[in-house]
Amino acid sequence: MKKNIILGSVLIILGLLIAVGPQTIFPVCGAKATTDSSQSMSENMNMFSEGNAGAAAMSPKKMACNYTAKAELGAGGFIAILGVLFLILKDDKTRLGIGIASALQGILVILYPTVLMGVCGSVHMGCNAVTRPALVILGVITLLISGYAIVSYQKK
Amino acid sequence: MRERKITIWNLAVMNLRKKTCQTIATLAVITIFAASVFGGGILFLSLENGLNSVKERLGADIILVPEDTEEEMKAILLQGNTSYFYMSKDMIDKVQKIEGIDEITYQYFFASAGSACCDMPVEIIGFEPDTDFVIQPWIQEKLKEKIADDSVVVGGDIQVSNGHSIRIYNQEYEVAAKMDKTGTGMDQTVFVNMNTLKHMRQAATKQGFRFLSGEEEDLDKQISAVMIRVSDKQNISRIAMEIKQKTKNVEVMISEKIVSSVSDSLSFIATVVKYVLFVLIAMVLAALSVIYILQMGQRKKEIALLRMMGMSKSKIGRMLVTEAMLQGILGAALGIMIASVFVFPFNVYIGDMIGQPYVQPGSLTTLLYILGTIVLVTGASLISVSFSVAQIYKKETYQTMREGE
Repeated sequence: MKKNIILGSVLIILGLLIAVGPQTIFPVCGAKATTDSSQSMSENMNMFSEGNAGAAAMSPKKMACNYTAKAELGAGGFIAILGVLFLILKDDKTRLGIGIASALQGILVILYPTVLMGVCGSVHMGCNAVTRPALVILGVITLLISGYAIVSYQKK
Repeated sequence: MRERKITIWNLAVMNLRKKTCQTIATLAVITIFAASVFGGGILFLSLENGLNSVKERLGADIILVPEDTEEEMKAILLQGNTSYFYMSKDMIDKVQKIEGIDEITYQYFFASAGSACCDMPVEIIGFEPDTDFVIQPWIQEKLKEKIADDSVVVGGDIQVSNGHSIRIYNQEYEVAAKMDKTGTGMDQTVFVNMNTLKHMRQAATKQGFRFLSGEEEDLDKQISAVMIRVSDKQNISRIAMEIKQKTKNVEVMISEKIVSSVSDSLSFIATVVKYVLFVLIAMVLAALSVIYILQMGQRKKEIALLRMMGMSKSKIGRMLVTEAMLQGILGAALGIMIASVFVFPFNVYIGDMIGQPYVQPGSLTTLLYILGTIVLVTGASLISVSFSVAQIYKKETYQTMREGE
């Protein structure tokens, strides 16, 4: 009983962190970077001045990390819902299924910023230096917790 | 139930398992200690590596930059900031005849516009291969021949997504080599020869960019910095003074002073880390000693019973030492794991936050440091338990059994 509550609660917390973290605690370049980049762009424009083609070359494009953040919102939200279901549903086989589903989501959490969508090119940008490692760590923890749940409920 | 042979090791393991709360509490203290020692140590080693890297790679003894751009130059060298400032190329002629100058070269700074999606602008440094003594020695570690026209050498932090070229001002340039990470501004720099730099500027000009250093024909008349190597290091100050007298609107930077500014910051951080670790070790030794003595107080009867069952004092002592050793090793492993989760994946962020050259130690050093942490933490645990073990030898079984009645 106690184990179910702990596992479910941890999954909910992890899911919320994965979903909301890239927008708040360990933000991607997204909303904050739009301001930063437009500021640095205007600085650049002052330095390089009046180049029309240059302006076109420097026009803001959608960053890869923005897509990663959106994907993680979905993956994290899904993990949090799985955590809630883990608390509500009492059947051991169902909990085993929830464990497998959350493990698969954990793998996706790791793959979005590393392989599937990626983050920005510069290693010193926030999404590369903070968001990506944070998401990988949260993904690994989700995998470990889900793995523990799978092993526990498989034995029953 | 599975039968177990009664050995010191098995007894120690069973004791730790049965006394879950006590074990967890002791482990928590040891884990925090190990995490602090390991995390603090890696942080310090990384800063020390960064300082050594700066010392090795500055190359020039004296650097001349335009007036009021000293801080910008430091930011380029140490933090990889993008910046550009220019002065007349005549500066070289003015200073190169000064006695004691061994080598002299110049560099031209230029920044990419960050045209590729999601890339920050990077510093592009143009150098003259025939006279350069600052960059080429390091490039030669990776690239044996001279850097060709229209190819670039990139710093350790520049990501080459397709593996062979990078895009600057909408033109592809072949990446001839990628340098090792140095923790300095070089990591975020693209190095090119002056011909490539001219091609880059032409490409940018065609796209409508205009440059602070003037039009295309002005490129040969402008430079960003003059790098000087002095034949006798004793003469650096004299030559710097002479340059100041012979030139106007120029900042004369002495490399030793740049290094010492980094070194001063590092020694401050080192002192803080050293004292914090010293206090921490003392606190943990005291806390663990108290914990073990308190635990011993609760286990008086258990120990007396073991003595009555025929277990010698030395065996009981060895059992307690084994328990402490296991807790020490386990706590050290947990602490190292927790610290590793922060110091390794977030190393770029930590380096950026500290604002000093930051190079993580290599795998061998890290491995040695892991072993060192385990030995230190386990040693602290063993020293702490020794006071409790000493009590066993002092008291007789009868006395122990009757205590507290």
